[in-house]
Amino acid sequence: MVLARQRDAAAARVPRIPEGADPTTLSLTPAEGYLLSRIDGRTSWRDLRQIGGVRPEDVDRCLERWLAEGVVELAAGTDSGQAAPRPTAGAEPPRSPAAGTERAESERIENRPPAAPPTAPLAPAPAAAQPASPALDPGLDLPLPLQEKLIDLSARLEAPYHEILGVPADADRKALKRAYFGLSREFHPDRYFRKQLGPFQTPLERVFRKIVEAYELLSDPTARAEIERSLAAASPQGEPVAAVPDSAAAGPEAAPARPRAPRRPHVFTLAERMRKERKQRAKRLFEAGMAAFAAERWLEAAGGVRLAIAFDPWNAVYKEQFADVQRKAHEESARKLMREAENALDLRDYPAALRAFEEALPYRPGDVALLRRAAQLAVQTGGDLHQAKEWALEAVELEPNDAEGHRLLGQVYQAAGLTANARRELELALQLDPGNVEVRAELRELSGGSSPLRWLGGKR
Amino acid sequence: MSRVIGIDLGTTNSCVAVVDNGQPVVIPNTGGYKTTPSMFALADDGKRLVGHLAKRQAITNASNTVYASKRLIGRRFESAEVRRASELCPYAITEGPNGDPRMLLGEKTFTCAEIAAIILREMKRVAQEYLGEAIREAVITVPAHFNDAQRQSTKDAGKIAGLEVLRIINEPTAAALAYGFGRKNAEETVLVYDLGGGTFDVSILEMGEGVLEVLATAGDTFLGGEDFDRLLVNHLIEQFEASEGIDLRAEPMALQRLKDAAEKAKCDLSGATQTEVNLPFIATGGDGPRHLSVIVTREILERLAADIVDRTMTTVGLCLSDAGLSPDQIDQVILVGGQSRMPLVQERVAEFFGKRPHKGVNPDEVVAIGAAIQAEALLDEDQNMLLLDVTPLSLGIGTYGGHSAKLIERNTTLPVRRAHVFTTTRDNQTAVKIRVLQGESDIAEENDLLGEFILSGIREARKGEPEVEVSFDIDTNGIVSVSARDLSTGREQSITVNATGTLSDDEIQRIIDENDLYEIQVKD
Repeated sequence: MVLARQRDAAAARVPRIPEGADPTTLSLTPAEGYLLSRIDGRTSWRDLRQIGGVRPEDVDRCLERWLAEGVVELAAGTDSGQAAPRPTAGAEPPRSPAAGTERAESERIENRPPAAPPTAPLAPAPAAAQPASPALDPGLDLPLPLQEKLIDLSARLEAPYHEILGVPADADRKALKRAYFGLSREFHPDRYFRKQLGPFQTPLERVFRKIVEAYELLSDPTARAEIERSLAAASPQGEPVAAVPDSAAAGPEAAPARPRAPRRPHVFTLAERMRKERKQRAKRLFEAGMAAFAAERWLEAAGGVRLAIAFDPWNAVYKEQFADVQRKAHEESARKLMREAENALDLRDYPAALRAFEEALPYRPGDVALLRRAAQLAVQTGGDLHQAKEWALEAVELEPNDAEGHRLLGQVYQAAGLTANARRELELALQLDPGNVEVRAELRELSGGSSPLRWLGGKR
Repeated sequence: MSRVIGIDLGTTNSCVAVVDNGQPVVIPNTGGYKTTPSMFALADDGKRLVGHLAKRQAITNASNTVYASKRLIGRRFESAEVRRASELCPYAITEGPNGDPRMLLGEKTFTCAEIAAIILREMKRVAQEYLGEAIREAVITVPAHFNDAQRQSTKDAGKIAGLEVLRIINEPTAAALAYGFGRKNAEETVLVYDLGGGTFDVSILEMGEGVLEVLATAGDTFLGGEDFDRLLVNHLIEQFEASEGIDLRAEPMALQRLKDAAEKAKCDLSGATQTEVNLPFIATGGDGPRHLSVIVTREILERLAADIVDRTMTTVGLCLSDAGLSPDQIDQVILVGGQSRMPLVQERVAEFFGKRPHKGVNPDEVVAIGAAIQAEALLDEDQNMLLLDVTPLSLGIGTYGGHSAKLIERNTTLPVRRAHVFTTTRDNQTAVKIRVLQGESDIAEENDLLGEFILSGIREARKGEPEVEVSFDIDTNGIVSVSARDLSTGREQSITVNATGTLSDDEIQRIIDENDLYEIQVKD
């Protein structure tokens, strides 16, 4: 171990950006910017030289220049990963969203059916937490250089995929395969069948799985395009690919969230996979919705079907069913609101009753009785007369030959001080129902004060 | 260190190989044959007969002779496959206490694992006699699309036979290993077409620098050489019925003779264009003995078998599309399994790929050789062969509404671990049942149920709130283990999936003890 360290002492030095330095003031080429972005205070000079995308000699040239300029300083030589702290989640390079089942903790929330906001704070990832790197141990059945490599790779599991494979970012399929086969020969668990790996057992498995993941995703053109886009965007956190509307609330599902596991690249493209998953999800939601419908839980049913349409907007069956389900759900909502309104009336809470009427109206389009009750209540309790007029007007339009409608509209106008309008409506009401003494009285009241004598006089 | 053997546990024949001084060799049995019939019989005097001995007496003892039991291993008694098999077999199949099929020989019932163990034990004996040393460990092959229960049962069989099974590997993969051995520098894409006695597999692999990566695999567990025999037997029965007016189907002894004759005729027709089936005294008519004598031409056989061969080519197409390849991207087609010797198969394959299949491997022995190479690759550091195999079947769990949520897609590289978070479907639900499914259907019922377990003690909460993380592991043997963890309580439960059809540890021990009564000791 000591030998290995001495041999590579120079290359093992770790460049880092000194505190207070502001590299954004530099003028850099994209390649230089890329290189700068790789300097994280953990990655050694040697490893930087092996990063794909920038030639090793360019890495040396840039680092030497930046050292001279004071943009970068060298930390004391260290076995990479051993002493260095783990990067915090926020500082991690963008992960491909299509990737990663391994470090599920950050995805748990997204992955689960979204109905429930997580109540318990997510425990900081017991399973996937990175244990401290094991110390080199010549007593193990694992050559020291490989131990070093494992430590190094374990610390860089979140690096861009091509760096995991140690190929340039633009490596072709053949180069990917070569790298993958080469790494498999080093890190496949079968190579250490019945071997004493001690604390390296878990890192070995983890590294191999990451290698497989990197190879599979980079071999899949669609996934690779995503990865390259997110690398280019270089935002600290890549936007998840699967922009599936995740607001499903009604799904009473043990629905697995869409499996975002990387799969064999050859079987489906990413887009096909996502389409398929959305369709499946839609189907589940729809079926849950229909089950609720059968159980007369109308609101839940409508929620399920609406979400199913959101996931699979081209499905005619869902849309067809939706009309029925929605009607039932509206009826249910209206019933609830009407009950609420009655309760409020009982308690003489008129504003609340009025609100409930108002809310129930959209669910009962064309309900003349409801419109009139709402308008009447507004007039009687000093509610919004403008609104009351709209309701009364609508009721009249729906039943133009009903005297009561015109009378109500007249009352609204009267309350609002629009006497001419009020008179017109009351007259219309009287025409439709000439025997209505109440309307006649109101009309008389309107034209000449409020004395009951007028009424008596009218009788003459 | 004692040596590790590779065993191809076939439907009709088994084969054992070992790597000796860096060279794989097939071990012949005491009769000098390189393959041994996968047959077991209980003779009238209670003696147990295996291999050629069992086959030789099969005609006179048809109802107590088991063949092709591999078709039943790891299946459930009520499955369609078992029903079909029991219609065709001269021996009786009964239901075991775990819902598994068992074979009734004389007074005693045998599990499928037990029969497989008897054959494995025989192969172990063959190797021990040849090598003159005790053998304790083996790599055993299974058809690529064997599910978890079938693999478990095969592993159990190894245990019963007194072998530690280092690895269960897929037959076509083993064949590719044998092909790749000695071609470490070739970068090739190969397709293995494995038409064995009872199963059919296709695998596509990429190889280079001693690494073999399986791209895709597909198959049919109920299609193989036995089906060709059966078609020919039916043909012979019909011919006989037409000429003599006697139905031979009800005569176990006649059936066994017909089966042997059909198998022989089928093999003859791979070389000759016609052959004669002669079975004197096959039946007794009203006026004395009747003889069966029928000329069978290659043309007749090919007409009978055309559908089956077409079915295999459909599977080949499916596997290619899974691998995302076209036929011209395949550099080499390797034919494996005795039935692949049939000229019609070779023609169809050549037609499909536009090139002749590879001739360099022996279709009967190559799988065992591959198994021996894999054993060597695991144990010998200097052996630079590495296999990157895949899971042939998707793995998922049953969810609300009778669906299956896939967590691991088929053709995923092994070993693999996947975790997912699930939630409850009812308010205050405190337990969830995890049903582990293997298969390709989105409908839970259409997949194989590997097992189920209940995670209890979930904290009471509204539906959708609790978070249960279910993790799946498939190891390099293709064997599944599952664990579930309640993320809020940390409560964890794990199972090695034990399908209802497989044996418990106690049962395995009982069988081991029992079988030891029949074991002969190798004299050192």
